[in-house]
Amino acid sequence: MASLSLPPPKHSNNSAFQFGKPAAVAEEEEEEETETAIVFTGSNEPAPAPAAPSKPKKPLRAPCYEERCLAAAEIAKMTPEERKSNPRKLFVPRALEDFDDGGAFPEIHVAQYPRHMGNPHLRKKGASVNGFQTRSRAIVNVEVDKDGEISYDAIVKGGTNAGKKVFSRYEDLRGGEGKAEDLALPTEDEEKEATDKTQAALQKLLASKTALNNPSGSAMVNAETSKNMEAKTKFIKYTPRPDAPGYNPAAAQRVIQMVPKQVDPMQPPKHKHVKAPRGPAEDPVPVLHAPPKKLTKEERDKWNVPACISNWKNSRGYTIPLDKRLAADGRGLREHTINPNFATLSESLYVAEGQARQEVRLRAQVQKKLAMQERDKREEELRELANQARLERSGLAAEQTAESIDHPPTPEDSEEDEEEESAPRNRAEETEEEKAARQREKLRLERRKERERELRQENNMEIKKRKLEADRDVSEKIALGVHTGTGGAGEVDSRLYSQSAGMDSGFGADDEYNAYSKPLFDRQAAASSGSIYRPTRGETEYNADESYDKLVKGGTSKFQPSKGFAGAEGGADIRAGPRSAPVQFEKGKK
Amino acid sequence: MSTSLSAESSVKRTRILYKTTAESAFIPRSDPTIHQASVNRRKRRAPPPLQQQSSSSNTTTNSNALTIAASEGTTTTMKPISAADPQTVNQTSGALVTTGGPTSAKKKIGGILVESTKSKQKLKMPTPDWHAPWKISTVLSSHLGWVRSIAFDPTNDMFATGSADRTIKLWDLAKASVGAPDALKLTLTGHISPVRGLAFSPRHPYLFTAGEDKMVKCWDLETNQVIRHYHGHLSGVFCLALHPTLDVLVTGGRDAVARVWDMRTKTQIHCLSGHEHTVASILTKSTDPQIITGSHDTTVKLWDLAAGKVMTTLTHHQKSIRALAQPSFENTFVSGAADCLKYWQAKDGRFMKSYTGHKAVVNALAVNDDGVLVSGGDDGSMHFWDYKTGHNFQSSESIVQPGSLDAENAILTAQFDGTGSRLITGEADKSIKIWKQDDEASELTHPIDMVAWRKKCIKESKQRY
Repeated sequence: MASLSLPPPKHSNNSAFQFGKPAAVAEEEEEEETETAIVFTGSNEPAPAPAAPSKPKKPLRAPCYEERCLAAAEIAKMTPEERKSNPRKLFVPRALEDFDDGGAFPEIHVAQYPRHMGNPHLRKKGASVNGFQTRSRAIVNVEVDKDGEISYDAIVKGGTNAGKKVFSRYEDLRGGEGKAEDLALPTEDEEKEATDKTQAALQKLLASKTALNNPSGSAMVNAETSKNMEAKTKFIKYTPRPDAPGYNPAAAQRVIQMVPKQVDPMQPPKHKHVKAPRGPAEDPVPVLHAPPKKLTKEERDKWNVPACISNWKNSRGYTIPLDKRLAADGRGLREHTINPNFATLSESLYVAEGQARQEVRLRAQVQKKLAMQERDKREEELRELANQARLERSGLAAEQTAESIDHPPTPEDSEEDEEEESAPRNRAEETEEEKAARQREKLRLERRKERERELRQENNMEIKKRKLEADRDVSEKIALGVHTGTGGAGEVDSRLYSQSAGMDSGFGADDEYNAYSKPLFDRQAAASSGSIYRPTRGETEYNADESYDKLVKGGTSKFQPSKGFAGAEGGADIRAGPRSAPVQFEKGKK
Repeated sequence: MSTSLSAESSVKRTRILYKTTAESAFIPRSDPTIHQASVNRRKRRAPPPLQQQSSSSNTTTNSNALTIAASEGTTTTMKPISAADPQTVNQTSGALVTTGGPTSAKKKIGGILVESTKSKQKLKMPTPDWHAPWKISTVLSSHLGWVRSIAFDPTNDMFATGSADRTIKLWDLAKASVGAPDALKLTLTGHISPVRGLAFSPRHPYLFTAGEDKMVKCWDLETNQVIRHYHGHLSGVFCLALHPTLDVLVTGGRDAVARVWDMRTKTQIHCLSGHEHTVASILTKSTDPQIITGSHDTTVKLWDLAAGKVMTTLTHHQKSIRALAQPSFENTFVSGAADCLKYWQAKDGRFMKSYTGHKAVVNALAVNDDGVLVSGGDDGSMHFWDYKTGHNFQSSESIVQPGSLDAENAILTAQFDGTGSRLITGEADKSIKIWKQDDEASELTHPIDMVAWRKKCIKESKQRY
């Protein structure tokens, strides 16, 4: 590893900061403070002789990272005795030149003061040596204004603010009246000058910007490179090393032709500029306003917006369980007070209802009583009328009989009642024949009445009979022969028609239950016309077609008799064969 | 080749376009009394500022100044140092001061010296100019959203308002100031977000608009169509200004940069980055610094347009700066923030004075040629200041139009017309309000409260930093 010659620290006389410094070097430093070199070795090689003052100076170079690490590790390994006895000089950065990049070396575990910042030894020294301290410790050179006072705003006026006007003084904060020449409006000459200058600058900018719009992009450049491909083609002579792997002794020398890759001129740009790079940051300017006023408590309270309280989510955003929520909202604790007016209302409604009912009842009673009275009166009247009529009739009859015995009544009798006494002779004049005629007449009348009554009764019987017929059961009707089904009684079975093979084929299989060619009633019509027989619910797996078929076929498909009717033809054994006719019963013989 | 039209011919074309004669170009034609008042005011106005300032520095010490010296009993007393001037004596004895009028024209330049006990430093108490109070004259309600920007035509014949309802409306100024029903000339639609910046070009028949939809548009007012888009802002554009001498457009927005565009080629010449927050207001000047930006990062930056670099950063404000204004008679500008208004030298950005008293978020600032500064607050408060001294001669509150909420009482933008006789404010109650000066007011009816002004000056001079 190369040995380095490095500048020593500028300050001397401080052995606390110098590790393993030989006495000769220390002397040397005292002789020449700034430019003597010290020797640093990072390896175990024998150390070269310390640099003599006469030796030509090597270019200054800070040790690289590895060198510094090794140096630090070596220092750490050594015992204090070894350090003292070690003739080699170890690198410790002290001078300004050691920190040529401006920062301390973190690997070297020694207090370091780049740019002498915070160097306590210099402070002591600076007290005695005037001007040294300020020069060496300042980050920015202290400038003095024309009055001899330090201008503290040099720091904000440097950097990017160097060419700008920066207001940093108390007067700038305070304000004041402006001078007349500063407040004056610009003259026309000034205006023209500024305008011309600006226009020229802007025109230049504008020209460059508009030039960008011209077609001179990367595609054109690429096309150009493709065009003069031949001109750009290079030939390289290449002699491979004989000991290289894969060496071919047959080709001891090669010629390589370098050709630029062909580029599609119409290719769009591969990279897209999404964002313009941010310009360099500007140095801050002094803030010339007071810090914002601290809010008082009232003002803070005014601005305080309380967090939203939710019934559903807690403050962390988790859902509150239902039971907790219900428990927390205190609905169990809430006492339900029902307004007593509800009770009074219902009470009074009840009372009013009772009253109303009572009134209605009383009114109904009165009405009923009145109606009864009315009816009684009417009945009485009717009775009287009937009595009167009866009396009239019977009285007349009695009179008539009496009279017929005494003197048979004449047709003019009723009219001539008053005249009877005036003309008793006429009555007496009635003959026996007249009496007999009257008798006959009477009999005729009675008979006619009797006939009429009989006729009336007969009509009445007809109604009753019809009613009876309507009440009759279907089976009764069939039994009575009233009902004969749709096909009509005594007709030939329809299945016999249009059969080429006769009975054998027409009735189908023997085990089929097809005793009837047609249902008794036209259920098909009923089923198709309305949905009265369609099941609406109850079956979990409802197959409409199936149930419809079932309905169409009729209930008989569902109920297959296991045995026949006892006493019917075929007997109880169903296996005798299908019935061909309705069941007919006969009275059992005893 | 940057402009196809020469400046003169386009001005001519503009004049023809807007059908105004050179005679009436800068006066609204409808109201002759306004015209007369404006002419009178211009006659009364002080000589050019350069002479005025130099004379003031002379007169301050000898003729029209008071020294307030400390005595045993009170903290400060006022003692005339030149008893020859009766006006000055009046100032000491009576509370009220009459400084206006033709006779005292030269006296109002002077100031009063205030001597503090502690610092032994004489502070000049400037005498404010008298301004007639302003009162509302017309309310125009046509917009369906907040009115966020106002710009005046260079001929002063019409003005444009941009609103949060995404429309730009052009109004006839003369008709609008009398509230005529046909004041609305035109409604331009094209933006898809609130229109935040408006500017008429003085050299072309163009209207430039900027919106929160990141778009900057150039409208041709001959065809009422958008002819150019300036594409590049990464977020909403909040302010827009045209350069007075160059065909250059400056926009600033929520992406914390101000962008300088070439008007014709639509090329972005500069991206003035350096602000850390929304750029809320922009001023342009013909001399350096040619661009001044105020930002929500509480700084004002002065830019070198040629180099595209910051010249100076001003950090005096505590709150975000939403408004900037510069007068036509002085090379100064004012910045408005929620803490106070600040008055600066525009040449180098030297701080001169704080105008304190407007306790609101200042959204809008406007200065007219008479030296009236208006600051419009976010709570509907309007303060009228004397521009040079910072004397607040009127504080008023805008009244919301019926049917609006109280919270909608906010001034969002304010502009004086070309004559300075009309103030137009765009408000959050969707109305445009036109204010004018009270013609019947005089210095006698509305005197300056000199006692309060003196107290304020002394208090400010004692303020510690």
